[in-house]
Amino acid sequence: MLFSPQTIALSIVDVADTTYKISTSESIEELLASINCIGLLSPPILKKNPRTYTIISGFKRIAACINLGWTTIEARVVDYKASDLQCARIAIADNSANRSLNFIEQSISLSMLLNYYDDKEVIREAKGLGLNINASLLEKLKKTAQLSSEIKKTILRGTISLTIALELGKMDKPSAMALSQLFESLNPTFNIQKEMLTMVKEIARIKDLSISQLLNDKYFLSIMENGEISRNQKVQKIRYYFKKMRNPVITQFEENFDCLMQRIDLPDEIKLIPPDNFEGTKYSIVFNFQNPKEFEFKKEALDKLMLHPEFIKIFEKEIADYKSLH
Amino acid sequence: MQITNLYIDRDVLDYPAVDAIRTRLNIPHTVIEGPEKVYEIISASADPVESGKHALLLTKNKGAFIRNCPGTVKYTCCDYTILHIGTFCTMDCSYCILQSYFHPPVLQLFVNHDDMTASLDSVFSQNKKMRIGTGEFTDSMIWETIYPFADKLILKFAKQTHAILELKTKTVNISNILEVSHNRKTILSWSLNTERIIKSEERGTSSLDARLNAAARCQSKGYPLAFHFDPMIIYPGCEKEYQDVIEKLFSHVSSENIVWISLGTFRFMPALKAIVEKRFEHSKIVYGEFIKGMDAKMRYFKPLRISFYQKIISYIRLLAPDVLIYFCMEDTEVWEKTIGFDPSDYGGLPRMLDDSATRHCGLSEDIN
Repeated sequence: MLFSPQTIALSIVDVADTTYKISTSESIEELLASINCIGLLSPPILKKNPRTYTIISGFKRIAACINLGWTTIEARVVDYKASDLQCARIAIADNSANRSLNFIEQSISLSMLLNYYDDKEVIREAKGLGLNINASLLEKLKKTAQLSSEIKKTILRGTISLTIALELGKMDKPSAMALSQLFESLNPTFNIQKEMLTMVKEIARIKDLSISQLLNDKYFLSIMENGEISRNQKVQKIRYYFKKMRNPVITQFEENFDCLMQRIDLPDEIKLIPPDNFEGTKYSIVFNFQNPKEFEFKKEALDKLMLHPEFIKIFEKEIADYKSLH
Repeated sequence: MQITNLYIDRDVLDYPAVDAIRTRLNIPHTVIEGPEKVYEIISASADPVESGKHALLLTKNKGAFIRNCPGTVKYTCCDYTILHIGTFCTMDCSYCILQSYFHPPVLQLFVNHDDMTASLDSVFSQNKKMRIGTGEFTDSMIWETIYPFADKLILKFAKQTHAILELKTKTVNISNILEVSHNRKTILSWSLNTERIIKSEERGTSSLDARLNAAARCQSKGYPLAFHFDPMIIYPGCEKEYQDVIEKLFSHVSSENIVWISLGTFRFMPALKAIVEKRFEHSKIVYGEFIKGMDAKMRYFKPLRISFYQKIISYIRLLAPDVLIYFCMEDTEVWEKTIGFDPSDYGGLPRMLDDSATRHCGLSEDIN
């Protein structure tokens, strides 16, 4: 295929046609400065139409030139007979040759190719155009392509991980948006996002509610809108709120255990550790001492513990009522 | 579930059972050079569990027919013995551990019955009390409509006096065994659950009424019975519904003819959760209040289990004060806080079950 270098009037370049746009970055400030300083080093690639030109590669360069008040531009022009596939291949090759493409850009590139190739062929074709993609990544990228533009933006901003985004992609739009906004607003770590997402999905299933309904709850909103606590405090409060809704009996039991330990009031440096998840039967007492005097003091505290009227309650593992379950 | 693919291992092509099953199923079959080919086909399908329920592989049990039940030392185990007649199940219960236990899950029916008989002879010659069941890796009675062989097992056990056979099922495929001379050495047992759980989580199984009617018919033919409330699912209103099941049970059969009732709440390896979510999208059973147990399985939070068991046991005791109730895989603490004693006080759980089998089934005392 021949590219012919031509000078093209910017007024007949169709900047609204984003058929071959791959780049997700909208910022042109650095490019503006560079073009203003040393001119346009790499000419964009355009496709000739009967009356206009479609941009195949160089969207930001053209935007920068228009911004600088240029009226014409040096471009490499592809003949109007070039097929959509040929143009897509040029766009992908040109973009991937200049930088590594992010997930969204890779998914856009693959979407272009998947109009013409099956999964096996597309992996081979993508490799020829500079994209290294395996079958597992292909599946993720196909799902990424289906995500709403809002969720794609949160991935690009680094607010949510691809894994979380793909989970959001499976939800109804209001629920996905509500969670996306929650993560955007509180910016929790990816691990906490994953925990919150799992909790919220399961609570919604248990209560037969949509996630958006769940996140519209008065108490939840009061935490989110509380201007007197920090973002981290909000994250902690919301996690606890979700935990309490997801596992009401466990949370209540743990709270009761903590209250009991407060009433028993062991000295600070003596810790009574229950079995993991209260499942086993072995409790531990851990204490440190620096000398015989301190040892004697701790020993006396342990002797008092044995006589404490509520000590026995630690081992009861009773729950008052579990009707609130589910 | 309908069997749509029949695979026959070339090694067993001439076995009598194969011919009978082929005729009965009347579907095209594929002869294969070993089970691996079927494993490959099932594994490659989009839903191996679903595919596995439609493909029957007739093959040899190349391993042991008699196996110890895979218990764990962390919880009190009943020391059960498995007679390994086949794998997987044609019914489709959401909670079924077999979905994630076999890789891949394949319906296998072992047709080298002469080897199985030899294994049983070897066990019987030890004159040791044993409780042997076929319902661990499959349902004991699913193949009765295609290739009845429970009657042969029952007859085999009837001729000795040290071991009992437990046939555990959710089917009502009993017509072929009703007239067999069982000598009370076979216990017919049913897994029971609430009608809500049977309807929502146990696809393709018999209704509660059908199971209890089948149990009553077996009782009328002199068979000792057992029942397994396992897995019990905790959900709002479950206590009342389990109480209804218990009342229904004792309105159908006599508590005096029940050798044991086992209780166990839902527990699962973590890998099962994703399978349930994918295959049973309306099921909520994996969203209970679970913690990771000492055996790495997810279990309901222990105080919750204790409280629930206390209620269930009180309902049973009200109608059957003397029936032997035991837990499948719970620890001493749960025993003490619900049943009121530690099995070791009575020589251990295996001993308690052996004693009950001895009383109900007329087993001889151990010679060894």
